[in-house]
Amino acid sequence: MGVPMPNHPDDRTGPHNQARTAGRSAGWLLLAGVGLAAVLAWQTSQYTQRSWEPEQRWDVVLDDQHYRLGTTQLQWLESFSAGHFAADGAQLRQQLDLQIDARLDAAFAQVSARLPDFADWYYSLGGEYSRLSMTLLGHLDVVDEDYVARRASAILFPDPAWENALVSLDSDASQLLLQQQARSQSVWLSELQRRLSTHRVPTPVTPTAEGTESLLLLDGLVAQIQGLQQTAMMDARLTLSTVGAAGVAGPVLWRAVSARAALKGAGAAAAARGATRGAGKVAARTASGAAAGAVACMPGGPLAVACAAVAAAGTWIATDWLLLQVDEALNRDELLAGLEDGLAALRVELKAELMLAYDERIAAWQQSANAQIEGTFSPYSAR
Amino acid sequence: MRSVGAQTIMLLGLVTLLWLLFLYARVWTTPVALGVWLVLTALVARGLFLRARLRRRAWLQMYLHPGSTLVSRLGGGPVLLVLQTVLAAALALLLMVTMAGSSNPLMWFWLIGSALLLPLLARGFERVLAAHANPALLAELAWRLSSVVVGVGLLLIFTLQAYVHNYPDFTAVTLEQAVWHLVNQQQARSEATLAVLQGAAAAEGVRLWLAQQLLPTPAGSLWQALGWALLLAQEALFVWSYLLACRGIVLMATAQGRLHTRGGENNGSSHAESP
Repeated sequence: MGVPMPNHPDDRTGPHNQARTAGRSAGWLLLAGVGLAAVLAWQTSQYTQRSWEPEQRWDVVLDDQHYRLGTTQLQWLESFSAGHFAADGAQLRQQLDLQIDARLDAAFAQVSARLPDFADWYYSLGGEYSRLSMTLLGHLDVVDEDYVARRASAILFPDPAWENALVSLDSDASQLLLQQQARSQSVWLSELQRRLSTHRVPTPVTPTAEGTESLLLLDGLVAQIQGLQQTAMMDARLTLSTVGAAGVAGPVLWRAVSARAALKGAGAAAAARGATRGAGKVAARTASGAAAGAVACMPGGPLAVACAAVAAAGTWIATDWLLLQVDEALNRDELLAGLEDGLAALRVELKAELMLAYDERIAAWQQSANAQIEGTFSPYSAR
Repeated sequence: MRSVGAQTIMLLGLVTLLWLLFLYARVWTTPVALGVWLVLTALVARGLFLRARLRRRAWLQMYLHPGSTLVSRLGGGPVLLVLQTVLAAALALLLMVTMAGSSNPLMWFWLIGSALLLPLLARGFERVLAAHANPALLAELAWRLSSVVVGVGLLLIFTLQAYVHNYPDFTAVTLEQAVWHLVNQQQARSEATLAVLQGAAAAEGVRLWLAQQLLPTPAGSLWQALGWALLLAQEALFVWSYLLACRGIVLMATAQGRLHTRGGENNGSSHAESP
């Protein structure tokens, strides 16, 4: 503590020198600041802002609405779409199976109700003689064989009724198919819109070009799947099977009955029995007819021959009728049972053919839908 | 008080920080963003708190008896600091968002220029006002005057640049489309940064849409005035927050930040530091 002494000119620690030193350092600092400012100005012109590349986002367009989705969400959308149509295909098969079952049950119940008519014809004199005549003519190659099968067709599967039942069945099944496909598509679309709704964004100010990589037009997929629906409607032709056709169902049924009878009669034995039955019938008819003619017309004089012929024919027919009654009494139930079994087999075969045809249509629809879905999504999900 | 050169270097440091913020805002992580926000908040809060206390002291001196206990109680303590910090946090966020979303390269030249000009102007005002101003507040007064001059200059420049800037045409689109258009352009690594940038972009979309929808049609002065007021308010807030951050960084490591914390007990201390 003391009185401050005046500064000596050489004293570098005095206030003047301190001020000079401070001023000099301030000047240097200012100069450094200007230099720093120049460097900073130059640097700011050299660099641009670092940008961040986020996860790829997709601009999905559906029904003129825009949605923003990531790759994961796009894959989820694809798997949902494919899974939806696969599940609906399986459900559609079940529904068709039930409907076809119901309609076949109704159609075959009517056929089954006609079985007694066929048995009546079979065991009638008319039926017997027409069978014999057609067999003879068949051997002479005048008419086709399988006369009984044709009669079975005519009686059991009458032309308009059976055909109409099958056409109605096919039409209803096709209708169900188309309705369910349309419903499936509608549900898919609404579910798609529901799931997308949380990702909705406004329409871009600058319209996105269609070729843009990040643009996914689901409208195109919807139109393609709707196109499949149109194709399916155009392609909804009659799916009637070969088995179901009236001209085929009768012979198929009769063959089944014959095969059953052959199996039951142990083949040759049955044939022998049939032959014996036929030969026996003819021998019995001939013997009884001749005897009856001779006895009845003995006093007839010149008309005896004609009388004998008439009496023999009458006796023949009466004998034949009697034999048919015996045959019917013995074998009618067996015939009906054989026909029922044949009908059941025919129904199974017919249903299998129908289901196969509808399965093919459902599978074709599913494959086309899957192909469209894959074609729409795969270019994006692969990235 | 630090020299003009030192202040210039400190202000250039702030501009450099803002430039780095601009460069890396979209690629930094959330902790980094938070750190930068805190730093800027601290700087702005420092400038804000100083001014708030000055205003409070002036008010108290005017309306209260000097011996009143209320003078010390209301002199500005933690409550005022918290309030100013909250305001500073908002202003710092605005500053960050404006910087991160800036697309005008000329802005940096103006900010660097302001960093050079501010200390020089402040020193000039100090000399001019030395014979008139309260010595304890001379530096603060000089800085505020230079801030006003530089701030008005920056505001005019930025407003003019905003006026000539090309904006997307929102005249034929809905407000939703306009907002989405700008929000969708924002990308950032940090989710928090992205949210803030998208919020700012949404506000920008509303402003631009309103401006383009309302300004041309009424042709009345009211709507035009409102539109320009919005634009000016945004630019003014940005300039204000920048100048507050400048004040905050200049006050670093000086006694001036503590100038008015204990009444007038350190009056003259700022003069003692003057070169």
